Amino acid sequence: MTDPELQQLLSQLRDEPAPFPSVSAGVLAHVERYQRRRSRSLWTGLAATAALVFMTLAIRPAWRVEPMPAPRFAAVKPPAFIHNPPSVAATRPVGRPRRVTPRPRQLPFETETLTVKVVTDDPDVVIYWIVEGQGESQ
Amino acid sequence: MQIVELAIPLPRAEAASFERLLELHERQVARIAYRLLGRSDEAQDATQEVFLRLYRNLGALRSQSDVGAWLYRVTVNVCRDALRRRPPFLDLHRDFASASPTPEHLSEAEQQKRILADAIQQLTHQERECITLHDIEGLPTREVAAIVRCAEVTVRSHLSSGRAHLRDIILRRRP
Repeated sequence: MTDPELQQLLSQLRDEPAPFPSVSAGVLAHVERYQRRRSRSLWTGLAATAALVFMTLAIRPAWRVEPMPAPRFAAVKPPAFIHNPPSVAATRPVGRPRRVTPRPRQLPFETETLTVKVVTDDPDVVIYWIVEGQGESQ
Repeated sequence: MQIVELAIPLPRAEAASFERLLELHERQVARIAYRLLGRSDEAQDATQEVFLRLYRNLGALRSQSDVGAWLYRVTVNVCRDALRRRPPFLDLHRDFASASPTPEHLSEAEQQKRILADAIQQLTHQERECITLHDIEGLPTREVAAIVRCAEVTVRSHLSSGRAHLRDIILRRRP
């Protein structure tokens, strides 16, 4: 038997079907089961996710950390500042009156003081912030 | 509700294209599996396994030509696995000896085919793979080399030695 004869004979085997019934029904049944399982696991996953989200939302208020209250600022009016220099006569010894050339008197500043009281969470800690100004903001 | 509407068409489309592929390639895969394994029960299981693997990997295969080459490769691999699992003293010729009538009742051509089919089972598995894919299925040696994962020159060598073995077996069995 020559090589081409053998090859021709071998190629004839291609037309011979396999001697067993089609597997397509079995394969499709498997596939259907696989799809059903996949779809079931998809729904289970979705349900689990939904339950998790729901639980998270339900429990969340307990986890929430109360924010610190904003510090309250209270403007406290300072006591009126009285600029009252001691009189010269009261401090000088009595005697010959000395001539005093009056120096040009310096006018007192128009001072304005603002005290800010900062109240914190701790009742023992109160911060006072004193702002002094000359009529202008600093 | 929206998810239900979106999720259902995809598996349906998948199933439809899979059914078409099954219809197109089933006979070929079954034939190759039968030639490589020589037993109809094992070949049937192997064919089923090949198509289940195809279904699982359907998304990764883009074109029809991809599917063809992929199926050949997977068929060869599944058959190799089945051969590895096979018990050592299995009667390999059981199917070929009992599936059809005795050679005396067949025409000469049919007798030759039967002797040849039987002789293929006596080759080494490499020779059988190369003879089945190249000489029976008509694939070029380059493609066969890609499927059985060896060099093209090795495929040619297996073809040559396989044909020599077949000739010997046929000559010995001829009356």
